[in-house]
Amino acid sequence: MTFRLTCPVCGKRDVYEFTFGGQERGPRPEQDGLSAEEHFRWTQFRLIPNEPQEEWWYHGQGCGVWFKTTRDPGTNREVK
Amino acid sequence: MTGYAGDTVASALYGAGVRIFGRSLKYHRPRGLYSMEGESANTFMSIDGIPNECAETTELRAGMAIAPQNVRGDPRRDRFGFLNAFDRLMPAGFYYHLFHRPQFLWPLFQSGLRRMAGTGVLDLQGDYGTGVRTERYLNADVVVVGGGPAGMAAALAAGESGLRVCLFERRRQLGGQMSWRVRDFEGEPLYRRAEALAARVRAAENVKVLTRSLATGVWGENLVTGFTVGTEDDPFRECHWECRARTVVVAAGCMDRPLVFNQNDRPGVMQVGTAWRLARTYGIRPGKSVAFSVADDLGLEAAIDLDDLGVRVRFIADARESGQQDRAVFQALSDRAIPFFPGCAVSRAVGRKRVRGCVLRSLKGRGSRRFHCDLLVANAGMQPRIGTLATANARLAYCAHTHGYQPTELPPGVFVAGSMTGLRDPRSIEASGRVAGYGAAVWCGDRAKSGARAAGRGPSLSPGRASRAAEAAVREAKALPGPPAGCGIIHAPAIGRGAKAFVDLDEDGTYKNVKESMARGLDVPELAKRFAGFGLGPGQYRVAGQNLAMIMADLRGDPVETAHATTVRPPLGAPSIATLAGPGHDVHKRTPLHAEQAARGAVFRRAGPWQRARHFGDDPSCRDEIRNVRTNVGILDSSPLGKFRIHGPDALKALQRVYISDMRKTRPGSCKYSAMCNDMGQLMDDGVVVNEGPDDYYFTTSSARAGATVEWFRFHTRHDGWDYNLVNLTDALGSLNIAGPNARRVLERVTGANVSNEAFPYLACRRITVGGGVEARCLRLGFVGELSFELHAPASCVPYLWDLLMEAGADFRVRPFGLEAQNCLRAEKGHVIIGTESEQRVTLTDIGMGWMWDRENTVSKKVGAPALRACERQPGRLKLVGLRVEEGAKAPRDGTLVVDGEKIVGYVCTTRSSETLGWQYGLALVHREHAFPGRRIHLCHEEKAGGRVTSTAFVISPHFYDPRGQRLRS
Amino acid sequence: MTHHSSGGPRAFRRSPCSFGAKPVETELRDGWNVVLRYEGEDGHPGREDGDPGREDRHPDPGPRLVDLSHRRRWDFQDSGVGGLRPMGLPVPEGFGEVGVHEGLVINRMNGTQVAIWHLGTGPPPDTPPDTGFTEVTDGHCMLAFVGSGVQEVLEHLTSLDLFDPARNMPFLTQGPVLHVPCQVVTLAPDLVVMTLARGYGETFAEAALASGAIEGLAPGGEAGFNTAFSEVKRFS
Repeated sequence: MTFRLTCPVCGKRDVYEFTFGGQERGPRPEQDGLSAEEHFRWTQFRLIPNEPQEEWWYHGQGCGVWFKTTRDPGTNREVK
Repeated sequence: MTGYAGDTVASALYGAGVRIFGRSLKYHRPRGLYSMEGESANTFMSIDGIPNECAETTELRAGMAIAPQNVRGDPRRDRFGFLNAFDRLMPAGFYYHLFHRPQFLWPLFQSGLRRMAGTGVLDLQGDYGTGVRTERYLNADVVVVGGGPAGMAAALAAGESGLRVCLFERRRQLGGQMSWRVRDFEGEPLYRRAEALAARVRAAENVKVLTRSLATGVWGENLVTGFTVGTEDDPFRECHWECRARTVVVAAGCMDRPLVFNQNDRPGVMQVGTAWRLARTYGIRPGKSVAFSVADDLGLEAAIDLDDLGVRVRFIADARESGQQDRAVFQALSDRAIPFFPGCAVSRAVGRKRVRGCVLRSLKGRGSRRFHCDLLVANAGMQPRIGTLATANARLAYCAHTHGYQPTELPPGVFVAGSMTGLRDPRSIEASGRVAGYGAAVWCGDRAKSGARAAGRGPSLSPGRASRAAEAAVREAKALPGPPAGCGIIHAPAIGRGAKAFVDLDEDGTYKNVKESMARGLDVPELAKRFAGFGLGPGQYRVAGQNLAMIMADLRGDPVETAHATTVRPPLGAPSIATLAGPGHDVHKRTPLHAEQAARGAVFRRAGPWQRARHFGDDPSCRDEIRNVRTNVGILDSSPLGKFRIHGPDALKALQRVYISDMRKTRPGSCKYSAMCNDMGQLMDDGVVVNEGPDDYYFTTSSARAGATVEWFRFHTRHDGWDYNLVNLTDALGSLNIAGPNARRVLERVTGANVSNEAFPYLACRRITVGGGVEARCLRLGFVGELSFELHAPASCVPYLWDLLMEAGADFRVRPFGLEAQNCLRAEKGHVIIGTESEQRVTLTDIGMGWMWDRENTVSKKVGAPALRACERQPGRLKLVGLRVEEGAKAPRDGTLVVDGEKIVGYVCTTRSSETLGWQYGLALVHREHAFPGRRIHLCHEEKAGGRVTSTAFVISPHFYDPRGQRLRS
Repeated sequence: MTHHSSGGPRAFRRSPCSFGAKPVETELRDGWNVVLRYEGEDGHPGREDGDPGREDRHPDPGPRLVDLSHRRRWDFQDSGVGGLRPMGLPVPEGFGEVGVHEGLVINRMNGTQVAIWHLGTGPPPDTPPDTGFTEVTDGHCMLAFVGSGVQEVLEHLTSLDLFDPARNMPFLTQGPVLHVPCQVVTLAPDLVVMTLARGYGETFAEAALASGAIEGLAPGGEAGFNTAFSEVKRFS
């Protein structure tokens, strides 16, 4: 299965030009008083929804920019 | 044998009188020319030494060597023909279950089967990759699959909008089915109409026409693949295409749905199109006396046309009782004295090696009649070629009106047109193509407009006009005849118990096999396919697919509309493996010193994207290279080392985030060694950072991480909006590491800079001029544990510097060293290599590098810091230790296990016998409870019947060589 | 980055790629040995340029691969790059847009970054002192595809849409060619220039020549590029 992603700089490109950066899970938590469990929850726990999610992608073969897009893992297609 | 220009191997053979083309896979039944498009493996042959070439689609060339396959001797008299009589012993799925018991017999049977059930023989010494194979990538707004009237009309309509159109046609000419039909169309024969359309398509500037080109599938978001078979005039033998399309118009046409009847595989039984094209395209009389058992107006038209050509048509049976729509054909039929039997179909072919006659039966009554004929044209009507649509993930369902699979839902940007939608009227077919073509143009919308503008083309369709044209085309199509009712006949009347009625020719799958599958509870096509191989052969879905679904629905007692066919999988045709493999260029990185090192006998190995010198000469243990660095001076090409510049107001913040140390402590003219961790506290990278000015830093990374560094920085600061810039200088700067006690004396000869220990101490970084003109950064580092200078200089100048250094060091007998020597030198020093002494179970602390961690800093939110904290006092962790292997004990190898009784408690990462130290050392990761100096541990070399082979070693500090670092500071 | 002043009479800088063809005209320039013409370059059977209105042009020799690695290049980054004039050049507004100004080409790579290439025949400018600049000449292999048939050649090397009629030439495309990340500028229908990481230079050029041979691609000297680039300047 191959699909395309819309790079905000380069436009639509084949997925193999990109690196996956995981789903958006908010900014890095503050480390003061951060418990190990909270840290590992932020770094390791992933939801796997069968619905569109916000994701990070890196256009490594192209412009070298990280960007967010909304994609449905069920169909592999971006959702506008 | 001779042929004419345009002949295929099959048509030439047929013209030369050949009727038996090969033998079937399982029963070795004689097989003839059933189809013309490679729908079955009947005519697979060995052509020019290449097995399994399809004679139907291979164009004849002078000097071809053509040999039958899957036969012993002559295909007309096959020694294995006796298998045919053993059908009783060979039920469906025999290959899979019958011979599995008793098990010890299996290899014997298997080898026998392989010999008999072969599909061509490979010459293991042969070169099958000969001829130019090439690949080409296209970008198009509209890809049209199929160059028949609908496809051509679609291409012309889309082309009017200034769009980039690409048309795939598998045959050598455009026109599809129209190109051999002679009946009148608006005052001229249909084939003239096809020629006129083809001329317009070929003249259209923005329509790229690919003939002899089969579209093999539609992938992902409308990526169309295909391949072209080159002619003698082409510079390639095969060309693989990948066409990124915004829209796809599928106008793949239709083909005969085979009529399932007893002995329907006899040579002399063929598709309507086969007989018709033999006569019209190739000028060959397909037979002397022809019987027609068809179920579609096209079949009637073909019969009449053959009659006009002087072929004797014995009779025409039409499985339809009524419903013949084409008035002109029907009139022509009644004008001729050809016996016409509506509501009848052939139930058996007569003749052992080829057709001598047939038995005709009424579908309703019990009446039957026997006829003599030497050719039997039989089908159950036409079925759409759904392959392309199926690979595009269109939803398909059985249509009870056309009796074929039709799309119920098309993927975004996919359009369908032509006879595959069930249309038969030539005007309707063309109109459907225009609807699809304009529809695709509207879909492409704004692009059509800007594309035409940018290309500065003349009159073209604006999106507004395209949509008006699309609406007009829809209105036009609606006024024309729609699809006529198709024929839903499932099989011929009266298939007897002993009948050989084939559903799949390639796998010798019969009606009886379908029943056997049902009897085992495998009552849907996807299961029958796996059980008896229906549709697994080269013909794939095409011959067997729809019939299998219909037959199984019928046998289950379900209405035919519920028939679900098997999934069609790409590729829809077979390019050669050599073509798919591609040109195979090994595009890799070379350092600026590749040639220099090669000239000195370097043995290169791949390391990431780079080819690097592993060692020089033929001693992989690198004894001399190592000794030379320890006692004299060596030069290492370390150019793949990651080298970066980071600048901008937030550069320090970014460094603080990704490096584990306090990066405020960088100083101009000095290297700060630090490391990057991931969120799990594992060591990802290490290197030095140099402060080169306000908000301006230079840093190095390990070679392996150079490619991921920008990505890493940006990822871990993605929410922060910081203003900093990264420049990857890895390739811009070559790197030379001059190492050894004499390093300074060599360097002094090529630079005027003061490189004394006082002016240029350990960990200093200076800009110096080398060789009178080349400016370089010079870093005093000590990875290999000796006095060493690393020169980072413009890559284009590095070969010049190499020559200078080699010349300057000639008196000292300076010599290059490679990665293996470096690996041994650094291991003696206890310096880790990421991924060798570190892995996913160990943190920075576990490998003894926790001292770098700036544990007080939480505001920078350093990557990995919380994990280091969490794992710090965790029991049961692996720790990095040094090992000294007992004198005389069996030498461990990289990866040797460390055991404690039955338990595995670690492993050896790197171990070598060191000339410098005089003993075998090792770096190992072992459980914490074993990780203290003086501990005796057990190494397990192998486990075998007689017990384990073990030896012992002692845990010591990993800093085996010069533990106080005096040498690198000297 | 470093810029050295003198290097004596010998070529002390080496290009990342060599074409395995025999040069017939070379020039020592700033330490580089620049090939102006290769043997057989004029005698190439090639294709005729069918446009009768363009008599000033020589018969098109067919597609050529030209090594321009010695041409100076700079990376310029600044968060406010859009409003700046690096080297006095206006920064193209849209991502992927390219400006051609005399001998300099400026490529808008993304929100914060431009690349500046010296492609003219005049002397290259010096690196300005602003911290935003980094000279990256040695970081790349720079190759030009020149002449008719260039589009066909490139269709063998990449799936990137380098001749998208919806974009106005010249334009920039960043993406993989022969699976190597490249920065590609389509200057004209018969002139495409690209940069790639220097280390790939040798094997990339080798693969490009092998894959493009089917379309007649052959090594070309800098002179052919200079002619083609002077046309771009006139028409852009």
